[in-house]
Amino acid sequence: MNPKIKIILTASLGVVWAGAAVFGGHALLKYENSPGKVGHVSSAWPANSSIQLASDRPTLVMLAHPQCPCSRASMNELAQLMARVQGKVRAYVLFYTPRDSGSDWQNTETSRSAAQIPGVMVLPDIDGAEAERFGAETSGHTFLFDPSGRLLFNGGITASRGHSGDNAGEGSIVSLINNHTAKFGQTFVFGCSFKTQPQGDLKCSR
Amino acid sequence: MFEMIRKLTQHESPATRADELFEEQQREIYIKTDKLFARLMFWQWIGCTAMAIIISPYTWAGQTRAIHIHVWASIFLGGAISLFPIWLTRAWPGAAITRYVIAVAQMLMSALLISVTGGRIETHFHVFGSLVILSFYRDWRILIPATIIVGLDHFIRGIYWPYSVYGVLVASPWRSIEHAAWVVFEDVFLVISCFRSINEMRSIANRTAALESSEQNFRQIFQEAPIGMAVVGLDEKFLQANAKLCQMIDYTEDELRCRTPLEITHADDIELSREIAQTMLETGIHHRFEKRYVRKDGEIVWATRTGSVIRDENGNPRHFIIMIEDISKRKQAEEALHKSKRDLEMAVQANQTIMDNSLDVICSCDEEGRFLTMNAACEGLWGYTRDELIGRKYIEFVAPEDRDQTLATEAALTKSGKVTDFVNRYLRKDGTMVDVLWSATWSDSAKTFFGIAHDVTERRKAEEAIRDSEERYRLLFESNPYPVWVYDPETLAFLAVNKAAVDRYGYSREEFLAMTLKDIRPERDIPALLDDVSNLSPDSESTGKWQHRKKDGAVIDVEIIARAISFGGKDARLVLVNDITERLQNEKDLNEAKNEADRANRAKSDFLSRMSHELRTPLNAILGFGQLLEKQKSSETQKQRVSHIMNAGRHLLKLINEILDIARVESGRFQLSLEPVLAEQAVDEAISLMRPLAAERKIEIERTALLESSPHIRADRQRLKQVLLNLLANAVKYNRRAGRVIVDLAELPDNRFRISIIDEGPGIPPDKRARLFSPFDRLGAENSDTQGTGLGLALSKRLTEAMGGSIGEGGPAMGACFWIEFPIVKGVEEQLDSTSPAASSLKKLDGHEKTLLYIEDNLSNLSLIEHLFGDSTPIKLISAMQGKLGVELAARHQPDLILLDVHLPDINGADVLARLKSKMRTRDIPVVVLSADATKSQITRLMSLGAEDYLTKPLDVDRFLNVIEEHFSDLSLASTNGDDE
Repeated sequence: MNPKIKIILTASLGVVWAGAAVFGGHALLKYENSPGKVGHVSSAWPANSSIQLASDRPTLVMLAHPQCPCSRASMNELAQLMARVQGKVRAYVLFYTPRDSGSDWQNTETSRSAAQIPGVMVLPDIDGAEAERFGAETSGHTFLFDPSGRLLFNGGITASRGHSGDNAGEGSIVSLINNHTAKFGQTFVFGCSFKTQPQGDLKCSR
Repeated sequence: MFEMIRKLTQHESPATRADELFEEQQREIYIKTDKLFARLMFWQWIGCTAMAIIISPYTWAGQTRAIHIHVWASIFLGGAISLFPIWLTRAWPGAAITRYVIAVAQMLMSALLISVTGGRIETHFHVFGSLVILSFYRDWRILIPATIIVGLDHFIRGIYWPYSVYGVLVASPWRSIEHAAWVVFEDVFLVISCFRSINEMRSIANRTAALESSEQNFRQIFQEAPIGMAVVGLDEKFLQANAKLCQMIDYTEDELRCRTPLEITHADDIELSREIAQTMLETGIHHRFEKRYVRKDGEIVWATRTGSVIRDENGNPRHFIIMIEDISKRKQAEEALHKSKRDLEMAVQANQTIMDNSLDVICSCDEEGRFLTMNAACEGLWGYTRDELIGRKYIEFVAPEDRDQTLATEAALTKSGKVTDFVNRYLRKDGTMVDVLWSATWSDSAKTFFGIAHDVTERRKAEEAIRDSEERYRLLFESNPYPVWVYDPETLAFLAVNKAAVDRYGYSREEFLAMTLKDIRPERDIPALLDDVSNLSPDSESTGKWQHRKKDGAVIDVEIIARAISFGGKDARLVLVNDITERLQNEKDLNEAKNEADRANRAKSDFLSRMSHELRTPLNAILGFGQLLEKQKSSETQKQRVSHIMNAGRHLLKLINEILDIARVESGRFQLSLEPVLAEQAVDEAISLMRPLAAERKIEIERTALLESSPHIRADRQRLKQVLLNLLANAVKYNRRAGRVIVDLAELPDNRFRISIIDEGPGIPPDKRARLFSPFDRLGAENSDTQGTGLGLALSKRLTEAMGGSIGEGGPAMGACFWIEFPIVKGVEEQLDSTSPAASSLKKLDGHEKTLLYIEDNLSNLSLIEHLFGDSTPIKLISAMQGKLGVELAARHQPDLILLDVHLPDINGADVLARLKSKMRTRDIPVVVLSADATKSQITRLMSLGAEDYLTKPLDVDRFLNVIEEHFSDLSLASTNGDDE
């Protein structure tokens, strides 16, 4: 190949490559750091919830979509959280379960890892009724209530979509349980939505 | 050798080479690592996509799902991140831009993987791992962009999505430092590692360069050495060989590596080589010896071989180093020297032998002339022994009268150094004189004369004899009455002329020697002269008639005889000249006279022919009417008168006939029909006709007894009878009354037949014998009563000679004895007998009947042909005795072959042939001519008129039958082919 043409081609491809990397990276970062939607969150325990509020300790409820890949990180953080609070909280993980779904719907790694967390009770949330009650629209939305049913914390316990690691939500929950104080009462939730949307318009976003 | 080493080491510095090696190694590492990353990035991309599909294939919203963005990001973003660097590794392998882009892309892939795997801590190790792999480049600088990318990732996240990185809204500087510190921590060690690697590489490059330089030096020394050098392994195979050795023995290095030194050693030197190698291996002592190697082309090379054993640090032998120096030239020189010595010894020996066996005296004398050395030949030449001569002066033995000249020659020899062909005389011991030829040289350095003396006494005598002989031949040359000269064939210059030439031509001797042959020849003769000169070969002669020009301009006719000789050692021509001017003139006069005589003779014959006609015509009337008168009744007187008239008329007629015959014979117009004639029969017929005339004079004609074999003679039957009748008539007329005529027949030894007619008359006087056959000369008988014309014998002679016979008179008889002789030939029956095989061959012709037309007026010839083609041959013979009749019969019968006689009564054979060839019906019939005329012009003429063949009479029957068979075979073949068609 003519050296001059080679140089020009290399430079052109380099520019394209850099542009693709920047654009792609930006898009990916933006996606990962775009929190999901939050519904109407009540400041108190929903009266019509089918799950029981603990009377002697705080109650933690995480609403999750069993198929959502981003919620794996939430389960990892929940496991760490439960390890740090050591029985001081009653924890529920409610997995969104459509009424007409099969047994495989819930049989995912996310739900299995949730079931393996000591102290965590995994329950199906038929058609997302509980999520509706609690005001959760995004998988991974976590609520902490005191024994009287007062909402102490709601939000996500991952730093970004699908990313494990230190995060404000987990830190706040641990602090609330252990120390009864927290810096943040609410954080962004990163995960898939519970609301069924038309095809072509799906993303794990708000 | 050391100079060469110095030159080699100056060629390239190790530092430069080390840099080259380092850069080469570096580039190699860059390229290899580029390739590694190309594969890595490809599989990373695949792996990232696979992980995305496994970990987060879909994104959900309630019950609906879509392909997760991670999957798309893996495929497209991952592809975009990976493919450009991969392309760079192909387009720009080893280039800095390639590895920098790879570094950036690798970190971007790490970020993508971390995103795809959900930020797993394990995935973060990809960053560290990537940095380690990037350190494979051993270029610490590329860690910078990689680290920057990692930092940028956190920085950008921290700026734009601060809570996403650290989980806090505000980035804590400690967290960034912690993250960066781990990366920097690793970078530090990787940079240190890079530097160390680079240093090691440089060190290795330096050592390698130094090693290379050293190796190059030694390799060059090895290769460029002026003597052959080789490294031989312990397995005795060549490991290395330098160019000189390869050239010496004509093998390439690769070929030598397959061989051992012993394989290229001469068979006679193998054992010695093996022993020395073993000794060297055991004792370590260097050995130098001479041996022969065998080149690839089979030539032998002498060489001096020196070897040593190379041992390792433990003293174990590793290999041999051998040095081989080509001493072929030296050996050749030694051999040449030995050969020279041998040759010298042999030459000396040979010289001694020659000297001892030479018939010539070979001697040497000192400057005073005393004999120093002498060979044994001196005793033969001078009669003295060697001992008697050594020490004595040679001049003592020289003849006194030759001493002065000898001494003068000796003085000249000391100046010139060489004298040859000096002759003087010596006094032998026995007192006799001997002529000696000397060849002598003088050696000024040795102050010695060297001479060879040859006895030339006999030679001098021979020279004297030659001089005398030359003088005699010179005398002969000079005194020859005919002009004689010698000339140079190349220049044509006269080399010597005799007195007769000088006298004859008018030039002086000096003038002649300054001239060439061209000066005495007419210009027109020069080409022929040159041709004649060049064609004359040694030992051959040439003769010729030429014209020469004398000094006074007169032209003379000469007849020369030339011969090639050697004159003064050179090729020359000796010429003897005979002036034939007068002779030619006489010949010319003679020819003119002869022509005149012939013209007169022809005129005479013509006159006679015409006159004969004029005479015969009235004579016819006289005789005719005279016969009528005889038949009438008349008186005695009238009868007597008529008788006189008739006698006179008949006499006149006979005279005219004889005159005409003579004239025809002389003019060549007399036609004879020669054939085999039975001699006895012809004689008997003539005798029968003559008896009545003889009876009138009571003369008895007797014939000798019949011969046992009755031969045939070749003659014209009628003319033979005419001659016999003439001779018999003379024998009767000139006989005594009641005498006898004897006819004798005899076969002669030379195959001739003689008929002798002897009478008892007075005979022929000896003084008149010469006039016997002259016309009209009756030798005095015209004064007698005996009648005659005087032409009978003349005519008989001409007729006999025309028939190839001879006639004469003389023999043991009291009267006249006339005889005629003819050659004996085979008769027809004899010819037929001898040709019966030929005749039988005619029967082999195929069954088709052939027609043969024979145009011939001679009955015996016709009879011969009829006998030849008997009933048993398929040949039908038609004959015609006249030419015109023959033409008609040819046209009517269309014969297959025509035999044609030339002498026919109506028209001659040439005219017959011409008529046959002019007619369409007969022109294609082959004609064979049979004629007694064997002249070349006649043959040519008839053949040109269209004759197929020409056979001469008397007929060679075999040849005739062969000709017939050829023609009829051709016809048979033609007819066969015609039938086939």
